Amino acid sequence: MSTPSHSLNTELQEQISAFQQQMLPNIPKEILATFEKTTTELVRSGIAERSLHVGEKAPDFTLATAQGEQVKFSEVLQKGPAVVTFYRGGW
Amino acid sequence: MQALGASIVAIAPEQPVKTVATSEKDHLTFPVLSDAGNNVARQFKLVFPVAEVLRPIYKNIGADLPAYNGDESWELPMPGTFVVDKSGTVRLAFVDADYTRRLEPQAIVECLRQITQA
Repeated sequence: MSTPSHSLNTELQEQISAFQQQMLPNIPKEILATFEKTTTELVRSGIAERSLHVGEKAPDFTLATAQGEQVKFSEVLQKGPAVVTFYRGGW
Repeated sequence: MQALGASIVAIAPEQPVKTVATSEKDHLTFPVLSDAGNNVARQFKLVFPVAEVLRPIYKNIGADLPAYNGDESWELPMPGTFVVDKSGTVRLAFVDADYTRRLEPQAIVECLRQITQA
């Protein structure tokens, strides 16, 4: 995919750590400290533990692709299981 | 995952003009969906406002969220990955408030194997 220099069987978390080691020296200390502080606060807030859990029903939804195609989740599920992944943005 | 009979959908709050860039840049073979206002992410209980102190930093690194997402909320979803079976039940849920941690893809494959073998 976007990291062709890594073999596919490298564990994802290792790839993330390698990327961080590469990036960290370029980031000013006070900015790093702000990232760390706000992330710690979010973790401590317990928000992740309140998200949708195993055993619960996933909500149905309809969302559009960039090409304008409407995708209805319940129709996707008629074909089989689905992997739903939320990402923050392409930035 | 697709070989195991699973569909994949990716969801982000960014506007369609931005998801097309993500989709093409990474040569994705599954739909990338625009979740305006984080309405679907909210139903998965993933949404939080980016801390005020981070907003100018985000802008500086090119993450101008109002421009990407088309609203001034500065809300984002926590990165989250779910496996949902045919009946709509969540079979695997991985959500971490620390955005540097992601689920290993192998865990998804194992979950899908369990579902298909049942």
